[in-house]
Amino acid sequence: MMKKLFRLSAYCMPLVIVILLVVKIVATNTLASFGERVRTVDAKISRIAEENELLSQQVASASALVAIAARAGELGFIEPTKSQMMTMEIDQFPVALK
Amino acid sequence: MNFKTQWRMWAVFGAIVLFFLLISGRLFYWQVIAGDQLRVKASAQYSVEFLLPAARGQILASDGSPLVTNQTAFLAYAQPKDIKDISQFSRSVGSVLSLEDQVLIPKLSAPGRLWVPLAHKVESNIVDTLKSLHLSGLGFEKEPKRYYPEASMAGHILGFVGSDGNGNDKGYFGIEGYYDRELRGQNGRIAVERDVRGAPILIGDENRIEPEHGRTLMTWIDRSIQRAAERRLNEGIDKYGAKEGSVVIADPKTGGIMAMASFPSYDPALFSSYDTMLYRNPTVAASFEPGSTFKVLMMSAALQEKLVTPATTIDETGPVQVGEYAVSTWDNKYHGTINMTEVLQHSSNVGMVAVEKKLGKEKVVRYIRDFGFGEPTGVDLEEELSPQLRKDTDWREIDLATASFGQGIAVTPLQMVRAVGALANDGWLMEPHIVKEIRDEKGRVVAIRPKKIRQVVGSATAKIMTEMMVSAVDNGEAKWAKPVGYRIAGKTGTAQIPVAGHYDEKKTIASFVGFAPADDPKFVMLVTLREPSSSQWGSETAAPLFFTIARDIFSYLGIPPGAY
Repeated sequence: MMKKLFRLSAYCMPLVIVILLVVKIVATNTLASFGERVRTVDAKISRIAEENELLSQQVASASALVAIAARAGELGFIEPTKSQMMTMEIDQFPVALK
Repeated sequence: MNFKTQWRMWAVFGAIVLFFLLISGRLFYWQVIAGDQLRVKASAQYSVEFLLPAARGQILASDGSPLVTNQTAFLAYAQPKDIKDISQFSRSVGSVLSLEDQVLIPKLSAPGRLWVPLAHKVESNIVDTLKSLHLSGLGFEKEPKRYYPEASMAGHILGFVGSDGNGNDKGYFGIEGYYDRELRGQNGRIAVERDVRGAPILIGDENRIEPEHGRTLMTWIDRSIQRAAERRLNEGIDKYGAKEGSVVIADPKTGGIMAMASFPSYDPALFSSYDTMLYRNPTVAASFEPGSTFKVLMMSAALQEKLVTPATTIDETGPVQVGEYAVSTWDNKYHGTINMTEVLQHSSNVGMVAVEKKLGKEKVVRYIRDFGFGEPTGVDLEEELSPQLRKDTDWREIDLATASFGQGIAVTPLQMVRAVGALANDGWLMEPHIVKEIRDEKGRVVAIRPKKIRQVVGSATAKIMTEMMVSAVDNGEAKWAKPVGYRIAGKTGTAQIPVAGHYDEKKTIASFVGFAPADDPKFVMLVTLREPSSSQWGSETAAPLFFTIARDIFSYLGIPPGAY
């Protein structure tokens, strides 16, 4: 029984080795050709990162106080000449009169 | 074997040995002597190395909005061997980058030059224009640049980013200088094997070191208050005809700096076009004699030592003699018997000399040191310095007398704000800070906790002193400018400026220091104006400016009149 097993493995072993070699060659070949695709993806990542940075910069510019003050001025807002504070007692609620 | 045969055999043997030695020698040369060089050459053919640049950290205001961030920019360079017509190239590129032909052409024509940098930190829109020219021999490399959404706001606090000796980015002055290591981060690099078209080989060796991006700094700076302080200070300098001015606003309970402005200033984005003398932040790197604002500190020392109470009286009937000098009041008016509260209201130099005499030399010098003078405050700004105090043994009688009303002693505006801030914080002197938190890219946060230095005066003394300062504002020279309905503790100051060894009577530094609301202070502020020309007095220049800024802060923080 043992002899039979040894003989079978002696025949199978080279076959397994050949199959593994073929698999490795195919895999290597496929992976090697992926390089171009990786380069494209890398370029895309870099481009998106740049766009992201540009958008962040635009958001920061748009929300800067200088920009907000300029826009408020364009829309006709003016600075109050005198601050007015309204205080409300607990039982007081503002109501629309009409 | 005859002699001839033997000779042939030895000759062949010798030739083989010689041949073997030659081969061994040559192998030794290639493998040992020239080995490293060849390895580098081979590596350059099949592998490529990229720098993975670390992004410099952002600087944020207290509401999380960026004060400094990064923008994509480029290094524009030329490769002369690929340029077809150097003069045409020079004209086209020069017109876009504002470079002159006389400078550019010799650089591009120099023999042996393979790579010529043309301009650093070129912005994307300019690069797009250059790319549209389709010039061969013109290349670009990413080079991050600082971007300031709020333009030149808080320039002195932020500092700027320039280059070190190797052309790498380096922060100078302000936060950029102080936190340069945290902001800079660490560049990474990646080395990969590439195929004949330059694409990476996935099954090849890859050596990758990830970049460690710079940390983000969250500051105590409130951009609304900073903007208000800068705008009002600019208006104040124009209105009062001052040469320079500064405003420092801090939270007395934490030591956090809410705003810090001084003019003239500079734009950190265009730092190289400004005078280098403007780079230093005067609120931490320039000193002044505080004048009468210093009286509140000496008075609180005397209160703490129980040598006086607000009701203690002195006789202000004329100038007081100190050694060979006669110390008079600022307006040469004398009010007879006045109490300590009135000493502050009238800003009486004579009264303060009496207080100083009660304190004595040892206590005066000790309290000056305890209030933090003579040592840096420890604020996180690169250029901070501290004016030296006299040695304890060098204080003469007249020095102690003048120090009691803030002359003959030099302080920085930040030192003064910190000292008065202690009176608004139950007597506790705090370490001032610009940065509140340091965040890394993985989201880890290192909080810089408020640091108490020492309790200079007790809580009870601080409260009494606050009331005396409120009275000084309500009944003093600057009461006309005070916002109605608010309790503000403060003190005016008008200090003469020492020029060439003597005090100039006409040149003054006008100042006002105070905190509000007096019963629960939300801010402590110092305003200084150098050589105001409309009036030399602090009560007519710095004080109204203080109150104008205070009104803006009350409105912004939603503090109604009469709330405290």
